[in-house]
Amino acid sequence: MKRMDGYLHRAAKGDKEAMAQIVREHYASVYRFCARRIGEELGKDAAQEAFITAFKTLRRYNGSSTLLTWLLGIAHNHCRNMARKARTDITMDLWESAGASSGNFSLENALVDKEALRAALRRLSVEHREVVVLHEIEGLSYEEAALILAVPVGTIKSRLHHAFLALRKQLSPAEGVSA
Amino acid sequence: MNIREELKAYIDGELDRERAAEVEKAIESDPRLAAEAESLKSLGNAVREITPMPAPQGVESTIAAVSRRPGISFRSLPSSLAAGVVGVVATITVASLVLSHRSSSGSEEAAAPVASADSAAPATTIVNGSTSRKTALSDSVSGAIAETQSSETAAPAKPASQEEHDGHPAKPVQKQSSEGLALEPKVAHTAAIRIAVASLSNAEEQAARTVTNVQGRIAGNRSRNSRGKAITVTYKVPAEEFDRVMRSLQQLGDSKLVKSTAEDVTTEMGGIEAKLRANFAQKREIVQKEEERLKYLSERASVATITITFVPKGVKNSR
Repeated sequence: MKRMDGYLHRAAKGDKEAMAQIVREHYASVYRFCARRIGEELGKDAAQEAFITAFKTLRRYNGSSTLLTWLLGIAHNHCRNMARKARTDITMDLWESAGASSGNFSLENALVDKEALRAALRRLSVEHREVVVLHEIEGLSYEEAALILAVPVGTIKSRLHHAFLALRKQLSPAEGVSA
Repeated sequence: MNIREELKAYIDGELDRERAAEVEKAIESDPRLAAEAESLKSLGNAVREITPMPAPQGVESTIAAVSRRPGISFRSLPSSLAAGVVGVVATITVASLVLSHRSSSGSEEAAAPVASADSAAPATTIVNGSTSRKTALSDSVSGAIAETQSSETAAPAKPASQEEHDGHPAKPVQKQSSEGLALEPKVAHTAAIRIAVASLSNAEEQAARTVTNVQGRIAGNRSRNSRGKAITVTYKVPAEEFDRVMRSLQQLGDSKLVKSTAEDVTTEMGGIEAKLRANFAQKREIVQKEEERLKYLSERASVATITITFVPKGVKNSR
């Protein structure tokens, strides 16, 4: 086990100042991670629960991943539990319709409506949406995403490939995108 | 995996150097593959662009929540600390805040019951009281109830009252223990406030900040009513900060003091303290006896006993 940083060590012993420092440093990332997955209201609760759990188990943090990755792993579990209890789908609301035309982007020299992209993202499976959020939105590496989802790195690689393949198929059906 | 399956990982910089070089070479020699790579980059950028970036909310309430400390167990403390335990518990204050939406006409919706055990009963009573007045709701205006409980040491001034609704709890009088010793007066406060606020999140954040500024904390889980339009939070703040925190909480919006009680717990605490002392003394005696017995048995087990009778040669059956 790697030696804990000073403030982590103090937080593990219940030092309130050190705990507050950790919350202030990482709350925005954890909150956004949760809010993007289960909505802002539930996400706020999940983020708070994640920090409570984290401080209860901080002694188990061994430094093999960054503290943020470890926190996001805990947050991920809370999001899943809350989504299950609320009978909602993870990331269901993330790409809700923006209403009127919201612009286009170029995909293989063709202009694609962003609304179509939102619809395509909503149609992805939960597993595919999760990796898209973790890697594309949260900016986590494949290894970090694998730690959070407790799957091999190869699974992240494969899921991202298939997620983007599905998106391209939906956005360019005439192109005949192949695997 | 073939080259096409690894295009995404290549773009993301997630391939090892050797494999990345192979993919790069393939892209350079295959325009169709190069177009696919560009398409994947473009798609990734578009996904990031259309994904909302929610503004963080709840950092102060989270800090207050993680500042909870575990309860003190009487059983875990030696008898010499028994008297001190009572003093520690007596200086803890509990407060809860219930936020609920309110219609523009001023009628209020019932809020969810407070989650923490030490204040659930009074909060539920308040909630039930307002249920009968429930009407149509407006999302633009919110209401809140704050419930507080505290125990504090106060200077003796006038006889303590079990329940006062003027927001100014009675001060306890000096009492005597069963041994005739003067007991330090202790008062447990309970208060409830309903506050109409413009934003539940902002109000909760400000309340949390007020509480954490005086080393207070959230007690129990915050709860939301079935419609999600009311939030109930229970706080604990140091007893000496009770009045100041109450004033600050009431300034969060259009507040109404629903309930404020002051219970003199001096006599009960004195009784418990005396009982604890007696129990610890009794247990200490039992422990001492058992320790002596243990020591005796231990000595017996560590020393073997051999008895020999020496008799002169030639003497038969000598005793």
